[in-house]
Amino acid sequence: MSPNPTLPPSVTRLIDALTQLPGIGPKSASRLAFFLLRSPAETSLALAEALRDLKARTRLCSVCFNITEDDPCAICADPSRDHGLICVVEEPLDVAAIERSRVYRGVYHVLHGVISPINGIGPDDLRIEELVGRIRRAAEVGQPVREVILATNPTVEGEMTASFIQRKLAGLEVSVTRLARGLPAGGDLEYADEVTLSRALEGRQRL
Amino acid sequence: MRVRHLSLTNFRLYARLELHLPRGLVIVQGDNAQGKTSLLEAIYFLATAHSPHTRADRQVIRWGAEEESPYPYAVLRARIERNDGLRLIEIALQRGDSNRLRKEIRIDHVERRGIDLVGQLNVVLFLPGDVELVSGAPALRRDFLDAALSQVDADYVRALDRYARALAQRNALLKQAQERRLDPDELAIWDDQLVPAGVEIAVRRRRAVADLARLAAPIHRELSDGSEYLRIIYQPNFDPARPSTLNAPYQVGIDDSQPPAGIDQRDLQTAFRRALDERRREEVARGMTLVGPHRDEVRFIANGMDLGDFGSRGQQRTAVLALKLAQVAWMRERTHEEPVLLLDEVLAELDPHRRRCLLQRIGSAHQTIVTTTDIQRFDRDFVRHAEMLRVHAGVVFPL
Repeated sequence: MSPNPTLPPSVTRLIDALTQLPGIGPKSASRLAFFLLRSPAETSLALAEALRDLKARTRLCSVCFNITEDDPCAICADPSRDHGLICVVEEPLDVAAIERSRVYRGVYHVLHGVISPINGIGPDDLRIEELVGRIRRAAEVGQPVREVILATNPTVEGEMTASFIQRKLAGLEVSVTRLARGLPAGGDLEYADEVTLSRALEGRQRL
Repeated sequence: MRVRHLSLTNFRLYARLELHLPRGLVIVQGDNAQGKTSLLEAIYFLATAHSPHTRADRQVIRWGAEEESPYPYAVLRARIERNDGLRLIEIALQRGDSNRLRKEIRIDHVERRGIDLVGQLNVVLFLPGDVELVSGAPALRRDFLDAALSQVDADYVRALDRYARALAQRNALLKQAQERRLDPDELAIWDDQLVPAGVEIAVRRRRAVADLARLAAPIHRELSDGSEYLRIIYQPNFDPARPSTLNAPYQVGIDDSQPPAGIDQRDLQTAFRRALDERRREEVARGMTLVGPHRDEVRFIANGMDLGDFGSRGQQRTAVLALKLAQVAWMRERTHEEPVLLLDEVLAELDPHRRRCLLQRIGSAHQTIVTTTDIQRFDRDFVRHAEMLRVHAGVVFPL
């Protein structure tokens, strides 16, 4: 679907390729293509190289399924991390977010999505079976996982995915916890919505 | 409460409108397709963030706006006078990439979510097709209950939203179950979401119908010259008191206005779960959820007769009018504010007695906006106290 038949094929090819990206329509794609056309050649080459390496150099960590260049990933290979503590997240970006907090010293497990029958995503499409296997194997080699933290998003689908994993872990000797939900730091009580406030009250802690 | 000022940009056929609206009765006169109904629709939209007519809200953006900009937009703004002071409600609609509609809601200049709109501006809309509420499909009655409750009860809106999401996911899963074997836990997690939300909806609907029935009965008596006694009955799709009558036809004589004694939310959840378990096989076979408030029913009974099935057109009309007037009183009870009444061409289809009853009752409202093609239909006395406006081709001017 070429936006303009009078453009040279090499330009329309790039526009078509960019249009496949999420959030990029034909208009944005044309703008990006013409920006690159007018920029120095190095800009395009650097971008092309980065795109090629993205697929060529990265893979999924065979332990936690985070995106990595080395297998196992730096976190899974780090002996100073607590391997008895697994934080389960939806996406690799969630790992990056939690790492930025610098308070978590355990390891991760990346699901790569949430259960959503509407989008045709069932438990088999996520790395849930692998999580159960990982915990089983750890117990067999005498390095049991003590705790699994379910850190999926507090959306309906995220909650349901956490609930499903909880059911799957029920038979294993591991304690399962869920991230606390409540007020954002630096937030104003007055502007918090009712659901957030009621959850913050439910999850209150003794000082 | 009342709308003091209404301002529209690119809404329906209004390119621009700045309209001051007085207290009391406002009569809007105009030929068909000039913008009378759109005026009421705009006020309804400001109250609910939805159009009462179109499922696709993007149709409210003015046609011409599409030629003027690649991203056409509409803005609705109303200054509301309430018991507790003035409020400014603004809704901006913009069509973006891939035909998505972006809705931005501001209350007193602060950006808010749709749910924050609940209770800011309350309206009761009377439409010519309202008689369908009694005679039409059950979905219309559920939509009526949902729309009425959504104006006053934010928890209801949340439960409805949770329920709808869980239902859509569960139905998608049931369809997949025809092709692959389901892990029982897959279905269970959606039940865990569906059941509490569904019970919350059913409990609130039952209370609302009971209140509406109580308020509608005396109004209906007056409208029917004391000859008929109206009962409005909520028939939940799952009922712990009568599990064996699931999907059974309505039986006259059972009073459903009060929740069965001694039954709490936990009993209702158990009943809902049991009903789901009982019909699981059938649900998988048909690929959809067969139990829950999305299949609730409301029936209108007068003197022992089901008006939906056996009532005359006149009886159905009277019942709907009683229901709508009861909704006005119900909103007043729930919010301690007078709702704004929006009457679209409804006086035309009423006989003189019912018209008189209606006009008497709307007299106590802080603000009533009535549209008509023909001003001659109104009593001289009635018109004397009203502000008269004329609409022609998307322009409003005093008459």
